[in-house]
Amino acid sequence: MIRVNNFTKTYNDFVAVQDLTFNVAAGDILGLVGPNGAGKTTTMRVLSGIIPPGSGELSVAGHDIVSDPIAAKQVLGYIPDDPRLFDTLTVWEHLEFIAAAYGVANYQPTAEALLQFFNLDEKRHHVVQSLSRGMRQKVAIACAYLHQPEVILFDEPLTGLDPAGIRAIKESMRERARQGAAIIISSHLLGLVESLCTHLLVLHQGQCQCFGRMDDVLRAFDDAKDDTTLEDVFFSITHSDEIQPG
Amino acid sequence: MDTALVKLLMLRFRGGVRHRLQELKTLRGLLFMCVTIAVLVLLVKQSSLPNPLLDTVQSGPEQLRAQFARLMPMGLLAACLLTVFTSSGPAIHFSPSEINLLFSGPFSRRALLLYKICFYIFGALLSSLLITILVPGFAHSLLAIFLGAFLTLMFIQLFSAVIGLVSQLLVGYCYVPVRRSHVIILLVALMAVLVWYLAGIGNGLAGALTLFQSSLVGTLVLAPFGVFVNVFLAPSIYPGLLGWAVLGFAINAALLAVIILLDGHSYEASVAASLKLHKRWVQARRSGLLWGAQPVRVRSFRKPPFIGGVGPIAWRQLLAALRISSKPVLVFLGVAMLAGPLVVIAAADISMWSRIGFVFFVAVYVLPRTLVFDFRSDLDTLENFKALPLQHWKLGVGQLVAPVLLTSLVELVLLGSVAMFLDGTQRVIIVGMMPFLVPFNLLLYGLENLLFLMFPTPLVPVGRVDFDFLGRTMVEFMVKTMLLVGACALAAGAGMRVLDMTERSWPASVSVAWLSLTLIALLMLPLLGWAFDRFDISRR
Repeated sequence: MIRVNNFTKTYNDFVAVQDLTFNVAAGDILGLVGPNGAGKTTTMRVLSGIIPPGSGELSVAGHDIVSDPIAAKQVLGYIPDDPRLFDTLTVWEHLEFIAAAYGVANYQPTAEALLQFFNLDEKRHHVVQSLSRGMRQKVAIACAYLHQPEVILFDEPLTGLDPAGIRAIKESMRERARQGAAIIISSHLLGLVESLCTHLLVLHQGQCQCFGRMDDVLRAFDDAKDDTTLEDVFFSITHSDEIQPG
Repeated sequence: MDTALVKLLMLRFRGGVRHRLQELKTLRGLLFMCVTIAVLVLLVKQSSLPNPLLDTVQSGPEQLRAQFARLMPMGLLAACLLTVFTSSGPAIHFSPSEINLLFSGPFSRRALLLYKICFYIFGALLSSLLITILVPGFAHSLLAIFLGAFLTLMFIQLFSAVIGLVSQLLVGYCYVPVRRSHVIILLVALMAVLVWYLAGIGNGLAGALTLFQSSLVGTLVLAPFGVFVNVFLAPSIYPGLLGWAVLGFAINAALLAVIILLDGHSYEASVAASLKLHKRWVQARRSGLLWGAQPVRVRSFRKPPFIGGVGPIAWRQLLAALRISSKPVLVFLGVAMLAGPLVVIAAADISMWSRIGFVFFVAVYVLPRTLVFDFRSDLDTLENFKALPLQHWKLGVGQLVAPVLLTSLVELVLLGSVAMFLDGTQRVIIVGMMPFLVPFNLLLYGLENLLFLMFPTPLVPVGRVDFDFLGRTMVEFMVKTMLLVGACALAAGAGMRVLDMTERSWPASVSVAWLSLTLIALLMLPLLGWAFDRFDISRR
């Protein structure tokens, strides 16, 4: 469903992502982890069509994001790390616009269900400016779900959410994957990634350090002890737990 | 354009109207709107009277039209250059919400550009409506003013966008070893030479403009601007207004075509520049004007002495001033240096009271809204100051050091420049004003901060018809003006009294006036401490 081949992205002289290759099949959830500046957000933004790739081939549901961007975006849902919405529009108006943008006919029942699922029912006529960050995050996710995307990209999806919201969104991710969506979650919350994702990709300084099924990756690093966690794997790969002498 | 984007435009328009109406539901919003309307009505009434700014001679419509035809092309050229040099990156900017929701949506780049241009058109229509209400009745019809204003505003916007895209393309395709700051410095230097040269000729502003406009370079450079001037001044709807308006539309359409053609090459830069601009907006919403919020790299300097806790606060604000607003400060200093020759050039064309009024407006409104390095720039971090082991009046002193010193420096250069071109009594008066700058600015910034701490709000408007912002700004300006004039009158009164008592001893009189003004200004410090004391972080 998502294919990335030899993807490289540079900003002037700085190489943000170098020669990245991976695939995500329908129903899979890929966890994209790495330290700050590893290239996670760049990868997500390129896949979502916000910025163009430098080189390489990237396709979403069979549509190349460079040569056929609109078809690719038609089946894609993107939830950015910061839920920026149109300040003066209400929750319902956001859904109304998204339905028009993606050509969702008879969107009202789906929109109603999403509002109920995310506990936004009472807030439907509130302008988003008046909502908390967590609420706005839920609105952004509801907007991304409305057109039933085949590919969903989450960039730090749980920031600002309360425990009930976190549970609801985790459950919704699993449900979407069960329905056949390919999902990528970029996050620093290693516990979330470990519990939710079927696959793992570790980026460090723009390069892929490790990619595969979650179980396989954890198994590959369990030489020293039996209960290896993703946190152990992460620090083992990135060496970012080493304290530099002052 | 994509129907979903048309729907979004309509939804956003409805949302904007709803937002304004909600503001009017509060007493404060209603009051500020009434003030805004009252001031607009006064301005409309005033605009029907002869304009003293343009000429010392009373002007009728014909003279006004002649002056407009002479000055407007140059004004348009200046506006275009100013827009180009004060904007960063491409002029078609998208907000983060547009980038997140629209760039990842199923829209072509061209559709997004058209959507954004429609947004600008809507803004230009609103501004044109305001201009139509406010400008003097020199044009033959209101339609001419409206169309002229609309086409001109769009031209400035599109022209700067084209220049931005072309420069971006040049930088992208070839190495350009010239930095924008160097170009600006070169242009300012050229302008300085020109102004000083014109001042030497002694023909006044009118003579200087005529000289430039009649030259070959002037004719070529100003030709496109003449089209928009002719829209304003068209004597009849048909063929005059229609013909010039069609030509104006054609010029704007051509610029739009160039933008659409070039924008594909700058897609990514557009996203980066838009996000950068948004960060500056966030900064500007906290700390004043947009162009005063562009950070530059400045190395730290040695820590100042403690001075009872005032030192570190002042040090921090001075460092922020250097890092955030060094460019505006340099521009102000450059303009201040040109004040002397400009006064000589404009002496014959602009009345003394207009000049004084202009300088007062710059000193009391423009500078304090640009050099924002005090409580106003710390709205989001005031709780940190609440936790400091420092008396609040001392905190106030530390906060005021940077803006007072920088503003006084700009004004000192201005007065020095003017004094060089005057002689006799006038020069003595100008030099005599110099010691008053620091106490005056201490009072001015004390008042600014006092009002801000009592009624904390962002310093830039939200959208074009922000009645709350407009009304509040007008009320603040009036209150500040009354208090400043009152304080200066008191100080001057004390000085005059001493002059009478000491058989016209000017040094004694000026000293007493200075002391009086300083004492009044110092009274602001405990008031600031009190206002900060009562400032409730939780109610923000």
